[in-house]
Amino acid sequence: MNIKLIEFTIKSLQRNFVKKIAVIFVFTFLVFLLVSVLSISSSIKKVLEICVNELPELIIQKMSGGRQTLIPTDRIYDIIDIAGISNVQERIWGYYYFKNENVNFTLVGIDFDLQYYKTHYNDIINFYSSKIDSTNTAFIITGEGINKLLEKNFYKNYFVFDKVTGGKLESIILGTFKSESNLETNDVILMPQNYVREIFGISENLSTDIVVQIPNPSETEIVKQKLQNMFPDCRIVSRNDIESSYQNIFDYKTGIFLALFLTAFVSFFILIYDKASGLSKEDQREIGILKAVGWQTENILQMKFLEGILISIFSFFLGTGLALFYVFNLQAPLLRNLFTGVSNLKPQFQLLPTIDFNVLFLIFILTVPVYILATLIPSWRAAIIDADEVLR
Amino acid sequence: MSILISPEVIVLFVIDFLLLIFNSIAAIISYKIFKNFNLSETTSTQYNLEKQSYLASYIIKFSLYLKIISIIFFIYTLDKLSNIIPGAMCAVGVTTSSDYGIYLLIVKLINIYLFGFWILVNNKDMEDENFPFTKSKFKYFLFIYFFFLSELIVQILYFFDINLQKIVSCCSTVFNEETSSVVGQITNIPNYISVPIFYFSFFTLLYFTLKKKLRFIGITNLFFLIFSLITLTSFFGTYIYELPTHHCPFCILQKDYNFIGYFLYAFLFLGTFFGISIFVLKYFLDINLNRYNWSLFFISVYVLLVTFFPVKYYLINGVWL
Repeated sequence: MNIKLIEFTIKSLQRNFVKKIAVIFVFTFLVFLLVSVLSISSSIKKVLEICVNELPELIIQKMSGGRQTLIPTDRIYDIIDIAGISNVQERIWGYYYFKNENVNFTLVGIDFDLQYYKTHYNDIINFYSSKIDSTNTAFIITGEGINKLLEKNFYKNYFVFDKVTGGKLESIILGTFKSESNLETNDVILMPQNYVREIFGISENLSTDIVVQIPNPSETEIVKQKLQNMFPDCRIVSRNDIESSYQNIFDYKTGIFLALFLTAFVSFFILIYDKASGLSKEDQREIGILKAVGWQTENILQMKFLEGILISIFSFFLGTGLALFYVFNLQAPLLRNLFTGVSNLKPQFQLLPTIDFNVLFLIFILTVPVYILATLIPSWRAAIIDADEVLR
Repeated sequence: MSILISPEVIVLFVIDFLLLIFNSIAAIISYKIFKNFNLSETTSTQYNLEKQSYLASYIIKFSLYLKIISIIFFIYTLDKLSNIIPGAMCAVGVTTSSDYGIYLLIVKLINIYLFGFWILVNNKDMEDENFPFTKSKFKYFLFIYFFFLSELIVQILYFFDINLQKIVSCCSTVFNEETSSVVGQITNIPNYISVPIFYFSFFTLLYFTLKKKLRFIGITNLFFLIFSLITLTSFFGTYIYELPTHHCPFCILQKDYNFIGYFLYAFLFLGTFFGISIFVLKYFLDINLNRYNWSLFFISVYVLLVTFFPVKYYLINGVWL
């Protein structure tokens, strides 16, 4: 393939640009949708990864009748004896239903005198430590999303909880916090443990669940087995379980999306086939003249092939550029609901800008060959036109 | 179920489905040409056949390009799937998770060689005004089509056979000395035998190619290819990873090793492709293909690249692995 041919093809495309606009538009739109959806998914996956890395290696939940119930706190003393465990903590937490906005807060009880297993929360505690030390009533530290909601409902300096056992609990709002990924912390309220117990009516010797930290990841499975044998009534969830279930969910969602998209591909294919088959009189004349001046069928095929490559690569990059702008600069309005669902206190996280070249490769290999294959037969039909037939 | 709905697998099947449709068209045309083509006739059927031969060769050419891209994509897919399949850490684990995996890889490779030979024949055919090889090249395509179909069938069997619950063994076990797997046994020819054979076959290859001894070029190339793959996993790979226990032909394709594998495989396959094609084209179609220099160039670069790693390791550390 020589340079002159490429030059000629580009010139001819410039001349006929208006005719190709419909195809370029459809192609660009298709690539745009695909890149958007797949990069939203991979960006959320990245945000989740950050969250998952903060999780403890094992979580022990007591089960009763298929539902999670409160676990006796003194089991900690049995667990800590297992070799390979660096830290065991009970967690007191739950969902607090806020009627005015019809949302659930995640209320996390923290023992402010101890190191928490999440480094992120420790930073917050250190940040507010002087304030914490000087307060002796109930107080809360809220995530950003909650802060906005509370201000909207005129809770500026304090908030009143309804206790499960009846009665109210007034608490001061000490401050807010945010983190690298808002996905997890947006709806979180931190509060001293004893007050959370009071609100949810959890007695002193029980807790919501127990977390276990294991420094050596290769020992996790064995410790998990040991714990399972010690407490047959418990469900032990490891960080790996959570991670792979996330991966599955997102692959599943993008997979379903792609599968649905197959119908769009068929119509795309037909559209292009149809568009490329309809040769106008002018096109036929052009090919006839080219043949008359000595072009071979082979050369015309090459030209058509080049044309296909140029159009598809141009549209691909245009679509990709638009999609990346839409996802990371505009934060993908509408489309991200596909993954996050709709709720009042939806985690207001930022989609972290990552260009996933794997995703781009995937979409490239899906769209560009499809386009070129669709134009294959029509351009062959064009190329075999006889010169004398057209020019006569 | 979830492996079939993962995006990469869907894309692989979409591409193969399209290729199936178009290659079937090409196969039908090929059959007609093989039956009725006669350049001395001036009937309209003959005229139509000549026109259709352009379409068929156009499709086949494009199939080759797409197949080369799709085999890279296939390897990438295997690496990606290793996240989901328990026990798999790279493409080896995913390949061994079904019995069909290794055959699928082999068939895919053979197909690329076959399509490549076809393109070479086609180019020779187009150079001549009398189209001397038209009939034989389309007969040959019918043979390729059979391989292409078998690749598709094996691929379908493979992806349906993968069991996400089954724990698979990955590279360190598959290529281990105590292994029972066939692949492991082959790659376990001790290094003091396989590495000299590798260099020996390289030098005989050099000799035959420079002397243009056609009959031996094909055989030595094939021999060289096999021993390149064996020594790459069992010997040279360990120097790239700088770890004596890491035997793996796929991990060199990963980012941790600067994607060096893609270069290595590209040079190895291109070199042996031209080497074998000189022999195949001469033997079956009596075409003289003057690609000796290309073959020599690619193979020498491969050998130099691969030799570089142990030498570098020795110069830096003063010991062999």
